[in-house]
Amino acid sequence: MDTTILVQLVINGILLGGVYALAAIGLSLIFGVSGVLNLAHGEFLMLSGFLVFVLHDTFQWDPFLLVALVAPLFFLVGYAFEKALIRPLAARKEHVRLASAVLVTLGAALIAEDFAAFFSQDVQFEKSVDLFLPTLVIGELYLPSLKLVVFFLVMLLILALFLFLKFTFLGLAVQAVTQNRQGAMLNGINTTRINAIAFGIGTMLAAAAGGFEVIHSYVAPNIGLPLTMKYLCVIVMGGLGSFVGVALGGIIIGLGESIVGFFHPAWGQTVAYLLLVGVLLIRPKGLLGT
Amino acid sequence: MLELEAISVSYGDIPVIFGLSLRVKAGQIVSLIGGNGAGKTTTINTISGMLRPTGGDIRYEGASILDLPPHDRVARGIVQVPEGRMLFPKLTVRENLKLGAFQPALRKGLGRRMEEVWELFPRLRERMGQQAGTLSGGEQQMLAIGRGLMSAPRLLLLDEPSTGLAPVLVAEMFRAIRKINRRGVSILLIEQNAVQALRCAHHGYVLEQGHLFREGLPEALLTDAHIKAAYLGI
Repeated sequence: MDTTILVQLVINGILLGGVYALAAIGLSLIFGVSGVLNLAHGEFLMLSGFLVFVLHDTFQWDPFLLVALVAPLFFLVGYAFEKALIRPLAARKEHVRLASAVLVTLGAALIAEDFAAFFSQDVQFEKSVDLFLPTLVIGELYLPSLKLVVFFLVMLLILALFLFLKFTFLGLAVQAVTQNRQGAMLNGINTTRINAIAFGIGTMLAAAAGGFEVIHSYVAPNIGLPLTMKYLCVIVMGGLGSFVGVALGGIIIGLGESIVGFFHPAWGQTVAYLLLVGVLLIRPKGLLGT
Repeated sequence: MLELEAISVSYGDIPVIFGLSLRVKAGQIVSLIGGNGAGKTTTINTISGMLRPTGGDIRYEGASILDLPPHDRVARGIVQVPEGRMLFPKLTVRENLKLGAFQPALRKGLGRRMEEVWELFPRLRERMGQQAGTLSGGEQQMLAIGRGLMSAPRLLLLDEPSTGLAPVLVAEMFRAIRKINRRGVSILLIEQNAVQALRCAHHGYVLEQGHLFREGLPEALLTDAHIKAAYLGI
């Protein structure tokens, strides 16, 4: 493989990994705060992608504007999802609660998938938004400008989340609940409400990622669960509780997929798992886990 | 100020507190002593709303608070500094203190109260930007109490504040507790260090395996033969 192609694949991989990182950070935030692994996370991404597609198809609005409108809407979806389906489990014993959370979120994922499949049957299965930006050419390298814009926006959102967690009362409370739930309760923090807010924020990040996917790639009804599994790999690889680690993990898995995909696209998921196993063999707590 | 009226508490099917009655009058330090597993921590967790009693009532300033969730009890001024400190280890000292004033009504006087905490524990000011998890045991205890004070408590529930501290620090901790009390904060103090706890208290309760064993003035408890033998090591 000559170097130009390799460099090209690395660039594509990093750009691909950025969107993984965004959605995975959302999943990690939810898990950190509530202890629930939300198996429906990828479905919110898929549904948001479809919504952006439909709105764009109907009104021809700018897709980036639509992402900015749809993502906050999914804050409410995530918030309501926690309130309606996750909170009622809170009173159960720990092991019952964990098992029920798996069933509830998996059930929601399957329903979301069927729902999307049902409504997209009469048209083609994969949806994407047609948006063309001229490709940047630097020497022999081709930089897909659309993916660059998406990557820039992803980084902006991650930075915004970081600033929120570090400098607002609510953000500090989210961190507090992650680090010591009982301590947070005794500090006058309504941990039940923080759970719902974390679900809202995490789902909003997934929804933004879904909008970006439909802009620079595509969405289909069945992408949800495989994506959730991929994000799970990203989180474990990055180290539980470290958003920087999760961002790194996303980019590493993006890179792996891009390079292997050059030879044959079928092995994308295998690469994610092999990379995960490889990282865990060297660092059992993940890249930046503590 | 606070009245426990014959409360009983269970973990699942296992009863741990049997009809305990206890009162803290405004301005007092009340010490609750007892051995391991006597139910001391269970008692204050019930006062904080982490546990719900199976029987009896908890009244605070005249009204039952049984239906209030923990964060609303904090808003009313019932603040617990838990055993094991329960700090937020990856947040800085300053951020931990800030979170003590999480309730919206508390944020206004935040700066002033932080000054008060620093005056009480000057060490915390030096460690302001440091992660709580990197502090020494004594400093962590100071931070836990400081964080509690940030919630503007009117009734402070202290669970084993002297555990794991060097003797010099234990004395300092009890001085700080008296100082906090003189600022007008009522205190319910739980301690294994029974002598010190009773010496600084206005009233004492002795809990034994979930039952109230004795109550009375500290001087009386300190000279009680059974208590001497069981808790005071005299």
